[in-house]
Amino acid sequence: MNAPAVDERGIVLAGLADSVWKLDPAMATEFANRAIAIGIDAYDAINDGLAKGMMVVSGKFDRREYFVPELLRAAKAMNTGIDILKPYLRVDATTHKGTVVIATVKGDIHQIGKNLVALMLRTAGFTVHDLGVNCPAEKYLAKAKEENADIIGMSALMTTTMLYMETVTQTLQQEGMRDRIRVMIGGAPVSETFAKKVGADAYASHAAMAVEVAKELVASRVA
Amino acid sequence: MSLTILPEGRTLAVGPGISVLEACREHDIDLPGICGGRGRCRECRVTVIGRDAAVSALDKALLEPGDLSRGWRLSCQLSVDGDLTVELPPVSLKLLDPGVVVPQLESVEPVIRDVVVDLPAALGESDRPAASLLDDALLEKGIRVERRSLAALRELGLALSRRQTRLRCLLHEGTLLDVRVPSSSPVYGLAIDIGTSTVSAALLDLSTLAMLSVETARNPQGAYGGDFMSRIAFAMEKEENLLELHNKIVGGINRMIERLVMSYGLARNDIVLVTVAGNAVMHHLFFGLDVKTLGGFPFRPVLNELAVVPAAELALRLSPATPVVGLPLISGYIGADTVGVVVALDLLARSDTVIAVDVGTNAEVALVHRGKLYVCSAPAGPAFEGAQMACGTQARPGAITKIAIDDKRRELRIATVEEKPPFGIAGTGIVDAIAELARVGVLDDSGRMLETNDWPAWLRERAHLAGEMKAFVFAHDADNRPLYVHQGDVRELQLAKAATATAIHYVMAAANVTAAELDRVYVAGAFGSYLDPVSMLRIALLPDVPRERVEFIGNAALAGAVLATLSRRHLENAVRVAREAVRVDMATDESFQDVFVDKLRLAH
Repeated sequence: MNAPAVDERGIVLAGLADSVWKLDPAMATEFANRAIAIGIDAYDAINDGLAKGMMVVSGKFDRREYFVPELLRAAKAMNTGIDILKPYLRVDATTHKGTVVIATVKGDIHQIGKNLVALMLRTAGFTVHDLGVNCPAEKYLAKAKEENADIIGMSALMTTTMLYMETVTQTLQQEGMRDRIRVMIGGAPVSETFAKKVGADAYASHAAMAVEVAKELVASRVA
Repeated sequence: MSLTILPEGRTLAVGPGISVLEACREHDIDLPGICGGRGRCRECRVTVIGRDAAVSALDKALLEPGDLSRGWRLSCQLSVDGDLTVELPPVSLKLLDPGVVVPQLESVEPVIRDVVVDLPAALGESDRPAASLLDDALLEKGIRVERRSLAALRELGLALSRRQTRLRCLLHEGTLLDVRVPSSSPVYGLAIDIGTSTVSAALLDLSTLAMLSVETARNPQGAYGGDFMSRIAFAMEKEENLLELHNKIVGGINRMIERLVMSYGLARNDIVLVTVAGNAVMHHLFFGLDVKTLGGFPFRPVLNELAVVPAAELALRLSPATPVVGLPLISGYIGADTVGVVVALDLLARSDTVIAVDVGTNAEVALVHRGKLYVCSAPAGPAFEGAQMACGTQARPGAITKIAIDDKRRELRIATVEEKPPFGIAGTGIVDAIAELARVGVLDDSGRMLETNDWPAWLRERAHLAGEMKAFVFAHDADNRPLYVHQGDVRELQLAKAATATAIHYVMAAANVTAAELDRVYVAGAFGSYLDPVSMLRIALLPDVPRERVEFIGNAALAGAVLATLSRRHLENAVRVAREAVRVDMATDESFQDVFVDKLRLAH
């Protein structure tokens, strides 16, 4: 009880961060509850605690020390913490980062990479509308319009289906929506160069990176 | 401008702006291009001789500085901007041992009927056409002629004018293919498996049912991409490209026919039947059928039935009417190669429970249980071929194909193709590497490389940092550069093995079979024969069965084509397989992601 409050706060925030990269939902629960008990602002607990842990995960993923299963478990730990903290978020301190419509393109039924990106974006505070796989251009556009989306995210795992991404950007152009919506793409066969070629705004090489890319895109849209 | 290719020494006239890879494609010079010239692999690298060449951004990204100074460039990025001499990377066509398993056939009902008939000796004053006389003579033997080749009619006319009334007739189904003077000289069949990377052709003596020779060659479409999806992508660019790919494979097979005809001293019209197996894309490209719809969901083929086409329609350099039989496909993504495997193992006739796994860029799995056949396929990507690995390579001379870590003697043993000094690690070597690293505790079951301090002490000096990724060094090449497997390579291989293991999981689930119930696990595919079964079991690529139950069967797709060339029952079996197989769909299953993630683990 005599310990300085500032240390306690530091320990709890570090505990939240650690729980994410240590892939430990029980630990996330413990530290989220402690954060509330000692009056740490819920928004800070997410941003300076859990989200910091996810950045560690992202770095480990870059080095492939972590892989798909670890990414899923990290998201699970983080979401466990968020669920506890959510009721304590002050209304003005909204964590909403933006709205994303995401799907695997028409002709392609690979889902795991796309699911991971959707999960990571949700965890990071985006509102995500996942249209599944084999998604035609019209479906992307209709949903983006309906939800006033900031970003359309497209995934393709095959050299044959990635070409469809250009159909989607062209349709956006024809419908006069291209200026209002940012487009990001991902998937094993695509690249930065390919993103430029098909008229997308950005490419992310993996799910953790997709969060950073999406944040930048939303910022550029506001600006 | 001229481009000289070493070691062959050919000089090509090349227009400006053409890349070296494109020029090689145009002149049928085999150069591997795993990624199809998209600048994502480094298999197509060549050495520029005698001058400097510009370094492209991709050269910088994919090749080491030392390699660049030795003149290595990616041929897909290197344009012929003046007279240029390049040396191709070393090639080995011995890389794939066909290892065909063909059961001994004692007596069969043949696909080609080879019969001798006698026409009435005294034809007299009758004006009955010779063809009609021959029809009657054949009908007496129970053979009804429905069609006749022009070659057969020509021979028939000449034979009668020479008063030759005893005739040897060759028939395929109702088609009279050829008429000749009776002799004991054999006629031949050709069974071909068109693999995405390798084409194998078996020459068969149809009279004695013997397999005389197996010829293998690299699929000349390789320069358009190592996996079949890049071939489809190329065909999608413009319509002429489909024809270009078709001509490449027909040209390649004509060259193989040429070699066989020469080395066995055959006449072209002695080859009277050709049977072709291959995955759906190779099958369609061989017949010149459009492949666009095979490139995406729902993977609709143009044709999945047995195809029978005269050689002339395919521009195969054989007698024009020679039937070319394409084995049927099961679907747009489970091809005639799988049908071939099932035929070779006679799975439909078996009462035990067996699974056959074709390990490669596309994993194909067939399981038979209680007489019912289940099939599934999954794209595994080129990791098993060593592509897109930091030190990966195809199985050329000097490629490391086997790795063993001997903890007792504290030795690390490697084997290379043709025992040449190592220069890279082939896919099989990477499978061994990962199995061994997991066994000795350098990798944990999740595939994570542990901190060096947690490795066995005697192996710690092999730790390496490749960029930001942890790596384990297995050997050094001639220039003393480390040959390693890094954390990213482990992950690539995990993806390929998880795709394969997931397909296996789904056929087993569909048939409600556990690993303990599997009497046999057959590993097919030319690549499979080099894999160490212990490594495959250790990384949980195969179901958890005792080592003795794993059996390699080599190129079983070719073996199936061989049997379907020799024996009618086997050919009919192929048709049955395509019709009766239960196609197991995994991609749309709700639990797919969970299963796949579970199968990433390097343990059962």
